[in-house]
Amino acid sequence: MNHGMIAGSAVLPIGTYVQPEEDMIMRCVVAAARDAGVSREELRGAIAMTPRPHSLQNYQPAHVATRLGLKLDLLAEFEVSSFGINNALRLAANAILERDIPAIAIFAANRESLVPTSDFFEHRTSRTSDANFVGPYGMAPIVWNALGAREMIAAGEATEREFAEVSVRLRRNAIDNPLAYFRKPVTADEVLASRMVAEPLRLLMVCPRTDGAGALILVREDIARRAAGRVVVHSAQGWGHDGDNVIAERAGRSMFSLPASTLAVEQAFRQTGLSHADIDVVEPWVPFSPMEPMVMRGIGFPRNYWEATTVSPSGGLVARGHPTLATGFYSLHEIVRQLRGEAGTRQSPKARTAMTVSETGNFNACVVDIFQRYQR
Amino acid sequence: MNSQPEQLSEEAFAVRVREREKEARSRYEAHRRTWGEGVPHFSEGTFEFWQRLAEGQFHIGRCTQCSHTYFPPRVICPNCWAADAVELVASKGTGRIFSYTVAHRVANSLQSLAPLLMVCIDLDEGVRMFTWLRGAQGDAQLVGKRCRVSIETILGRIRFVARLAE
Repeated sequence: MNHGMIAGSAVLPIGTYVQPEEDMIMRCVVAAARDAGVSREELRGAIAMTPRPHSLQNYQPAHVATRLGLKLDLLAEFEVSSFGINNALRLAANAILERDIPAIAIFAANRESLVPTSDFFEHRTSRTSDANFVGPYGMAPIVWNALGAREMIAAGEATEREFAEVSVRLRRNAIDNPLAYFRKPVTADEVLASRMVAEPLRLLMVCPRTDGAGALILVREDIARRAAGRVVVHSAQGWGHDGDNVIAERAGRSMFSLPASTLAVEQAFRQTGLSHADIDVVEPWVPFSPMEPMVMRGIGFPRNYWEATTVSPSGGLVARGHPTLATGFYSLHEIVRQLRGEAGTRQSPKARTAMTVSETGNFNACVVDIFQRYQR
Repeated sequence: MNSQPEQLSEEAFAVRVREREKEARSRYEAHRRTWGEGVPHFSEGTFEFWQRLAEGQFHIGRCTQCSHTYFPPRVICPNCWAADAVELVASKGTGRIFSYTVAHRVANSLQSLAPLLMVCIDLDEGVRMFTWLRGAQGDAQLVGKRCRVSIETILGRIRFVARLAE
């Protein structure tokens, strides 16, 4: 695989914003370019995540590029639901190599707060499963995760308290993250006393739908050498897909076991020769606390995975917040900070190799990306 | 039984699809007369399923080419890829609850039903469905319990739901 080199990253603090997406994106792109030491003339590619239907501005790559005075050799958009940031990383790395582009910005902004959750369920999530046979019954990601969590409990694979302990760990991690939405600790008893949302998932096991924005700068190798100590290399990308969209076609299929994640991590390890013991930090895509043990076990870590590996040092989606289109940028931002040794009080002392897991749960697809420090 | 559907030339494929589209228009109008606007939306693969559901019958799909049974019905068999080869077979409508949840926060249009008891059911024919369990309370003992499909009018729509087996 042609290794992408990430030289710059910037994200906005997660919260709620009245600024439009273009303001948020422009702030991030400029901050990320400065973080990378890349000039406006060198920045010649723009890849965006396709905006939500409620966004007031479409064609964001061209629009933002114009507003920033850029002239581009590459413009593209990806749907976040089809692993937007993961695909964007590969497109950028290949375009830099094949078309000799000095630097490319990947970015997204999402004001999720503009759409109330009940509207979000009505108009979006009801159409991500079968829109006629499943969606009209109220299917949403929280519902399939609740079905999987209930199955996990019934099978003796987890308890409600174990799910609550995940929330406790995530909230504790986010205390030291100035970008996070929730920065106060919670106890397992508080989690278990919070109101029920979709049994057995309680409010404090669920990510807040929030606003946010982020940008990454990928660069050509000659530019990477200018700031070698700050560059993070995208070493591998493994993909897995195991059929079935939310509700399986056949009876008997487990809803908490995630074979797509197993396929993806095996592929990523094959590309690098690495194994679980080499992974120092993991940022998984976990919008609900029960997803964490499902994903971490799916990618092959032991049941007590958090004891030997730093998992979601940023606080993850449950504590950090979940601006869906931009969430991948926050995970990668944390990886960049960790691998540079810039994560402050939440720094993992031995962070040399890190992993993001873009797991879609019962959509049954997963991308595992591995990142390492740049070695000249 | 033919497990290798015929390979059509591009011209023959185009002719067949256009003919099918002509035929689909009358079914589309019939679907709208029965169901009106909104869900369930018309599809050639599910037209007959929804017509029969409106008459109080619940069916699953079976391929006329390879006999594979599946749910929901569709225009292409997921096993042998035969096109427009679905026939409906009456389901026994019985199965087991694989998992359940009680959703307290739901879409606006379902708010009057909240909290909603949602279940994933494995039917005895070997296919899975997702629906509401009516006339029961959320309880960990529900997992594995026998249930049956029931066709009921809820919020002004005829729907397939489930009830615990007696």
